[in-house]
Amino acid sequence: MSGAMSKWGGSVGVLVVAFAVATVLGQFRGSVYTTSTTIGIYALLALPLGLLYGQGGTVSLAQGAFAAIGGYTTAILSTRYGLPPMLSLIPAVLIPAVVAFLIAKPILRLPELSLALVTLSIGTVVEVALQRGGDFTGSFIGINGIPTLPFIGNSRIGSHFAVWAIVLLVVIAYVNFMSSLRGRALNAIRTDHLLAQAMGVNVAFDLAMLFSITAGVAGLGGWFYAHTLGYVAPDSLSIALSANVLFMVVVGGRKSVLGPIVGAIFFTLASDLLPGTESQGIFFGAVLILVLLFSPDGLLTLHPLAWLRGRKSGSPPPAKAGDNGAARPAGALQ
Amino acid sequence: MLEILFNGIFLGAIYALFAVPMSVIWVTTDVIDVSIGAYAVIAGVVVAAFGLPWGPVIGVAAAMLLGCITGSVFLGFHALRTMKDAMPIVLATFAFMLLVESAILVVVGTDNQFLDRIGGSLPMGEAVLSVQGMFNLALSVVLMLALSAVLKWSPAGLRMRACAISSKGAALVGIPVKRTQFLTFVLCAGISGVGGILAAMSIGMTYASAFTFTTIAFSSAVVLGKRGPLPAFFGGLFVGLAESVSQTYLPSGWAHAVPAALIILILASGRLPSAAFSGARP
Repeated sequence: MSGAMSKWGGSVGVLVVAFAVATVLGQFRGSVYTTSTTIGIYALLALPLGLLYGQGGTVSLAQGAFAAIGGYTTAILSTRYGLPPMLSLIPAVLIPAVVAFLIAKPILRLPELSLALVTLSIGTVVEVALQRGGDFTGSFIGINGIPTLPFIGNSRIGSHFAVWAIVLLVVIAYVNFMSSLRGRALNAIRTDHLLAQAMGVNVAFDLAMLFSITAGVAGLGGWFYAHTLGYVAPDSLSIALSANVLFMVVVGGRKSVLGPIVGAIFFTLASDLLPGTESQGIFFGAVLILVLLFSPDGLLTLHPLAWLRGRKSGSPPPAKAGDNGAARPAGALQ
Repeated sequence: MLEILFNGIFLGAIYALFAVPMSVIWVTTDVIDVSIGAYAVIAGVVVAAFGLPWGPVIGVAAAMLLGCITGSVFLGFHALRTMKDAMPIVLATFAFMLLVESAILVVVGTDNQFLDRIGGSLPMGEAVLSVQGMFNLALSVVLMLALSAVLKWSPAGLRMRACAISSKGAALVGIPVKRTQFLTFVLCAGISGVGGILAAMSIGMTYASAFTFTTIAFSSAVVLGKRGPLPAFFGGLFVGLAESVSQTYLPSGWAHAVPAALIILILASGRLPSAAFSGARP
């Protein structure tokens, strides 16, 4: 038990404290629960991308597409065939996971630049398919009247509790995975493909499994989204969402388990607080460029003073405990 | 059928002007500039606002200004030495595209931006060919020939080719690699801007077209399985042709997915050898 606590105690502790603060604040202002639920859904999409990009070195811009497949699967099954939400959860997770596994082999051998554009293209094709799916997908209008989740209904605090319980489970699974044999293999793959292969790691299979898992978790996010909002449309889980999720991962910190969640919090709060939705892209674009320039590993690893000192002395900033430095053993998380 | 083919080639001539600069930047700097679509849209929006005769000049200048900014960001990454691979720069160009899209949305809104097309048409057998389309093709070919001449004979072009072959080797023989790469961004932004002006005259555009143009540029740059300006040019023509044929024979709306589907098919089939890519995993 103490071993498990040392592994994920820090991340879970921070999450639980943040959750408790949000719960208390929600008692005074109900909209906090809605914002918190939105952050939780974004975190469900960003966490697997953080795992894929930060730990596996593989960029995917298809998170929105996989979430859409999950969301539409549950929407179609529950509204057209009357399947209860808890049962439609299984295909909503499995279908994107299987699709991702099937397409993984030909695309994951690509270098990361091309892979990013291929996954973006997959998102485009899925979006067009949803828009042109006729009555089956509801075309441009989407699908309305998706039933709410049992035990939660339309309760805002219920959604807040449910989504963060799922996020907590995903975080624990993430940390456990990264400290497992497969997680260490993943770090070896990120560091050097050939070396990992030489050490007996089945690179193609491990990457395909990881891609499949991330798609499955995105499908879970889509499932929760559909049953919380009661509505899905091509625009709600689109390519723009994939770009936003990548923003969250990069800005928060791709190599840290909490980074994608920090990114989701930053993105949601900034979206809510900034005036005018039209001009928000200017802010987010500028922030992303600045973060990539001055703190490429995300805001969680930002040490401005150390960076300035490093610039003045002409050497890179000194590695601190908790940095993603060379002293950190493979498989370790920040 | 002949008319469909010609319309495809005329459309592809515009796409070629997005693909060629993306390809030149790719081979010269090892970076895929996702902002290519943004350069085109800013030029198109400016030309729609100012009209003729000064609109095209200001539009291309605006596109080149954006190219300066992207080039500066590219140099910034190298100067700060925070970059371990090309991916952060690509993400930065992606962020820049979002920024420009948003800025255009704020200034001109969601309306379609266009410039009056060149009127008239010429009959050719059973087909009727638009003068605008022929102008697109002619300008595109002239620009391609001019670019080829620059790359082959001018000192700046030779420096760009040297950087494309090996930036380290080019640096060792005294070529100012960073300055050459910066100029590549500016020049290519200008070419993309010309494509944007032709697009404003032929098909119109909105603030959101930047992403579409970038997807088209990338699919055109890879569709023939080789990197380089000439394959990208013919790739552009091919994608235009494929889109034109799809608009006729596929259900409504599916033609928009053709460039994306081509990217998936070409790259997933392994037609483009991995050695042709940059940014490969270590």
